[in-house]
Amino acid sequence: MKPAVLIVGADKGGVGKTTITRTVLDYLASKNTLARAFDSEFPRGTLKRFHPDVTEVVDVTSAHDQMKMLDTLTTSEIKISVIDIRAGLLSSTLKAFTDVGFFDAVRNGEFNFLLFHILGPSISSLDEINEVMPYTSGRNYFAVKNFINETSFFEWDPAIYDSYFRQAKGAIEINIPKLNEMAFEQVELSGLPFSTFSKNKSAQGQNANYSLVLRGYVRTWLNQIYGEYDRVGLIDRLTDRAQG
Amino acid sequence: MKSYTYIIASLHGRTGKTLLARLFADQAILSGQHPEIFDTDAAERKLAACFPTSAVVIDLDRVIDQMKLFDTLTAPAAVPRVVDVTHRGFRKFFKLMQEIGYAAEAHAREIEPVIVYIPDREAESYEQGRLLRDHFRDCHFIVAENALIGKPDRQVQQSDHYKSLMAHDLNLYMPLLDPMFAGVIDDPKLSLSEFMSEMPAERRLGELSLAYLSLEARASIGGWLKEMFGEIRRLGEVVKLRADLSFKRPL
Repeated sequence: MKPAVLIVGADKGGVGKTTITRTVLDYLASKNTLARAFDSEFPRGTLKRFHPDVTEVVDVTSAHDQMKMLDTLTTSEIKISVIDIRAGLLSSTLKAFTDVGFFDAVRNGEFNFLLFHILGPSISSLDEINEVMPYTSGRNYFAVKNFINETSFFEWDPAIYDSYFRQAKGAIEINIPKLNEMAFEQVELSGLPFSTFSKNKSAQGQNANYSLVLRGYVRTWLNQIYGEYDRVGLIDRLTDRAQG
Repeated sequence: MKSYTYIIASLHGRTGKTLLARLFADQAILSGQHPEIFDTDAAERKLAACFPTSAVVIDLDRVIDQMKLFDTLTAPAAVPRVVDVTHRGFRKFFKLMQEIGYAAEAHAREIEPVIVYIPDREAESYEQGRLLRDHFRDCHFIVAENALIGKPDRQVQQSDHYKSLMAHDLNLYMPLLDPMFAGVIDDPKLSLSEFMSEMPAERRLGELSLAYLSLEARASIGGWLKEMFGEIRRLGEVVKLRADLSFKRPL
């Protein structure tokens, strides 16, 4: 299988990048697909708190850590790398990856590359589309609309929204529904992956005692997101199956 | 040992649902148990008014109350539970029940959910009842027919939904009570279990006295209650037998 890199990012902060990355890791685990993750929230590492076994905290601005992520793509036994890019660093990371020849390698068919661009409900998010989409060469660019903040996207002017998306040919939309706030808070407090919480397990795999209602909200929400990932063929795109 | 959660529901109001929930709770009391009682009508609280010291009022719009309800309903218990699902929260309750996987969680803890559904004269109530029955196959299902509501018109009776629901194998019939005495039954201060277990004249000072009721009234109400409690007891035994045999409802 060809190594694949999925970058989850946005230049805007507070749009739920790490939350989405967590759902991707849960999804891949549910499909028995091994993945490693890099958390660029250096040095704190929010993603690592929830998925400590597969996550490494990196400083994406340092050449050393860029090597750690990219130079190991072909040697690592785990072929899927998910990189959670912290706010404000998406464009610069993509530029840095260009400079080191990563996208040339993608064009040469050495790697698969996918970009989850997490959109907030403001026009600045839309402005980012034209900036970051070219890196995907029009393939595997996912515009992820995250409704976690109970926002309605661009309701104020759907025409503007449409005009941006007309330009973004080939963009694949993913809608992330809102999770009940109380359920979200409880998962945050537990420090567990969403799937572990919904199965009422502790980090050590023992039975826990989380609320059935809150677990139910998380499970339903997660299933809806898994449905979205299934719909866009995420697994096939990450693996060679999408290549025919 | 298994315990039972009776979920009393109807699509519309004024079907006798709260009275039936009350009867299930009082039947448990009559058999020496202390049922856990939940009233999901946070506005009217009619069931809670009948059991002021033991009923819990649940506002289904509040997540904290949803937790209070379903987390309690899945906790192992030695006593029966009765939930009166307000018709205003009908869809919300069952959607939540489905989404959180209540029945599977309950079964894992030796709790048997029993849905008791009262249709009315509207065609939709048969359609929704059938959907409810077919959707929650892992719950026991009882169709309760309230004689006071009367039969629906012929067109409804000819529908597949009506025929299917009325052919259901677990039925509870609520006979007519003389309208003259219906008001007495509706009085929340009247304990139906106490009515059956003691002479009304002996009630404590300050509580409702039924001593003024004629013998005819007492006999009529007593007869009706006896029939209802008998029906509930009979169905309870059938449900228990099915639970013990791990009976699966056929498609």
